[in-house]
Amino acid sequence: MKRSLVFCVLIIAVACGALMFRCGMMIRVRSSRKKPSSLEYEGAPLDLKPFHCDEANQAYKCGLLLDQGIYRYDPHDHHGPTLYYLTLPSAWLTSDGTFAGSSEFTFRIVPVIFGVGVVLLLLLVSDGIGRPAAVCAGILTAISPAMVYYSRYYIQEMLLVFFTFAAIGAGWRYIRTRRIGWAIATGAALGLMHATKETCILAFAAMGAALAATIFLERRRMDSPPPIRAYLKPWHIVAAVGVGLAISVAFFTSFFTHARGPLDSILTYVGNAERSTGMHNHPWYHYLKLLAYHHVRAGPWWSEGLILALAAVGFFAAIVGRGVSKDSLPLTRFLAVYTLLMTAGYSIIPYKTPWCMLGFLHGMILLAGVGAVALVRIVPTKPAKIIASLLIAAAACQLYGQACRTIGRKFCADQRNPYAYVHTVGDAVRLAKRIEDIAQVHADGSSMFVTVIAQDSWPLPFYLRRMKHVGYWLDPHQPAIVGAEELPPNLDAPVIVASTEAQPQLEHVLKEKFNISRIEDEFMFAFYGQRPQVLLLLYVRKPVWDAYMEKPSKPK
Amino acid sequence: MKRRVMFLIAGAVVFMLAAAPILRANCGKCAAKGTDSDKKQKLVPLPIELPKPMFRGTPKKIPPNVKVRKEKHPRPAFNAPEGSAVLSRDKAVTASDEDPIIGDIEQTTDGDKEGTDDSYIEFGPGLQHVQVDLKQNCVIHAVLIWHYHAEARVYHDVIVQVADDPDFINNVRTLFNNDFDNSAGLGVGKDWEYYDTFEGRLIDGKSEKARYVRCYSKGNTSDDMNHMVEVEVWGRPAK
Repeated sequence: MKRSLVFCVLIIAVACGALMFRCGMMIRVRSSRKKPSSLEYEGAPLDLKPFHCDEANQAYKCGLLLDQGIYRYDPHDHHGPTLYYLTLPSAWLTSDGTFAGSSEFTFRIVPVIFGVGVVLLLLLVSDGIGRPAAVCAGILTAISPAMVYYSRYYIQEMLLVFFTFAAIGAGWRYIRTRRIGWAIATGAALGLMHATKETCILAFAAMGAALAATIFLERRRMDSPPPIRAYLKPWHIVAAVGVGLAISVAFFTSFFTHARGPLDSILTYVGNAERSTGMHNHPWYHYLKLLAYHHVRAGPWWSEGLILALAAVGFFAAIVGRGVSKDSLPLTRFLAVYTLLMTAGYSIIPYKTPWCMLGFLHGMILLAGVGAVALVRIVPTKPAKIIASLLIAAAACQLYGQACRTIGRKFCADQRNPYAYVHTVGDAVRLAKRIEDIAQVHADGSSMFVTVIAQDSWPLPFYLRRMKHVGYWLDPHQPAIVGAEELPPNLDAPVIVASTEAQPQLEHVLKEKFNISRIEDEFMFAFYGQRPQVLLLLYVRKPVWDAYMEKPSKPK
Repeated sequence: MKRRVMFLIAGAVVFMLAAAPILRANCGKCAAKGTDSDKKQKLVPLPIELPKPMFRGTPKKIPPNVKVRKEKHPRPAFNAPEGSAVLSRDKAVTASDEDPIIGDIEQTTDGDKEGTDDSYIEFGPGLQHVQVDLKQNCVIHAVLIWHYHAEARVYHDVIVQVADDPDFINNVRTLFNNDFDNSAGLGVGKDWEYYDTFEGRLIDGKSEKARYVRCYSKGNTSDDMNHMVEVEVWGRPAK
């Protein structure tokens, strides 16, 4: 009883630490070549990193739900609906309940909470992998650079990891207690997985295969194995499946207002199969390489080698049965097979974005917890156990340092950060801020018209959410189709933003329209980065720019 | 007759008094800009050694010649008085960020202008500068800057100033400024933004006479960091 209390306190303490860390309150030792090492406080608020175009896209979709109460599942370009609906409480609590009034915090706090929840869920499996292993896994979850980085990333991945672990945890509790409540919780978690992201089918398949493998291995281990029916009651399964389906259908039908949603949630796999052969294709070893060692250009290196190495130890400990107690064998074996299949599945699929690896990385972290404990147990003498423990602790400190760097000011959106995948640069945020500042001196204020001409304008729709009239066109000659109406680009707008691809055509049209020989006769223009090596041009009509420059309290 | 002579003498005195400040100002200008002998000297192209091009072709997202200003490649030769040499090589450098993320600030004047990983210095975000001490007053004919030329980038708020003192208080002159919105707080610049290439940015020194050269930047279009591969100051020691 006393031990379980200590364990609960430890897990809650780790979760609190993870929450503070993910919210940007962090302390790290910064090594400097010219200054002696000093303990330096460095904060990383949730708005420090610019919104990635995917985050901006998700936030915009959530904004539509927030402002208009409308959500329709889009099987072609978007994932499931849980992220948007689960952001609503945050929007109501942290803003005025409108998209314009929201902030980066409104959206990013959602994955932060689910990322911390992943640590708390270890309470469900402590008797399955062992309490020391659970604490180790909790610490590694809290400090893994990938887990920290994507816990502050407004996409579906952290929610999927949470619901997946919730399904495993609740399933384990059901096996242990055979109570219908845990069966329903398992079904609910599976339904939420489906309503979060379509890649849940990989986890479903891996869970099913791991369950079968575990049953096979356990039955071989036992002299007189009990029948499977002793573990599973049919009507409990029916209840779990029913609840899971109900939750999935409720979300995909936008709470029973869009009948086609559930069908689309199945048809989406056709589109996804086609999408998996696109620009994000990488070789099968891409994820493992990214985790093992990443170093591009001059600058620091990244490695989650500690987790990989300990996970390998945990895997073999689980399969061989050394360093793991008999009570822990079923769940650790399940996790070993599950993680192996998830890693293989995600590696085989050519379409790879770094956040997708969270699915199997979390399995690896659980195994790493098991591996850390097994390693100390297997080492023969007491001094050797102490040395092994100290080495693991030292490596964990280094991992924490990497996590600080991953979300810190210098590298949070840097190309050398393995987790910052074609990330938006700070310039894009400054561009939007500049437009808002210019609007302040314009007679129309936030109703000032802004014309954006670019094939890909994300994340501008998020950052320009407070501007009431922003029009987006693909090129200067092509009208936008809004309903039945064709709207040509508004080139009379005081502010025009264009991609470098659109620049030649746009300037030609502007010169003709304003009868000028040089564009600078009518416009001030400047370059802003959108992503590394992708630039946007800002054109501001001269009188508006002059008024802006004359404004005494012009923000820098 | 006597009265006429008196008028002539008085007129000459008034003329001398009126002309004196103008002459003094012109002399001062000569002192700050080098001597008139510079103008009389034979002009020859500066023998600038360029690094290997690292700009691996035009990036797919940036059409050729889509620049803030169309520039000729290769750059036309820059003529300076005969005898102009690199004054900055291995000279002392200071920087606003004394603890760069990558590299050492001494690399600013080490003559390595390549776009490779070990050739550049990386400074933190915000307005940063490097400052070269030429050790004596020099007549500056040109300043060349390479920020980072391994990929297409535009560095913001590029400002080059020269001064007589290390704190840039006395006789500060701006040779180049493309801070169009005064976000660096050093005044609105009229120069244009540009892509960094292996040719570096050549800035006319206008024969300014100074001991210190300071080069500012404030992030770039690829990230918020500031980089410096090399600063090369061409000219000759002032007489």
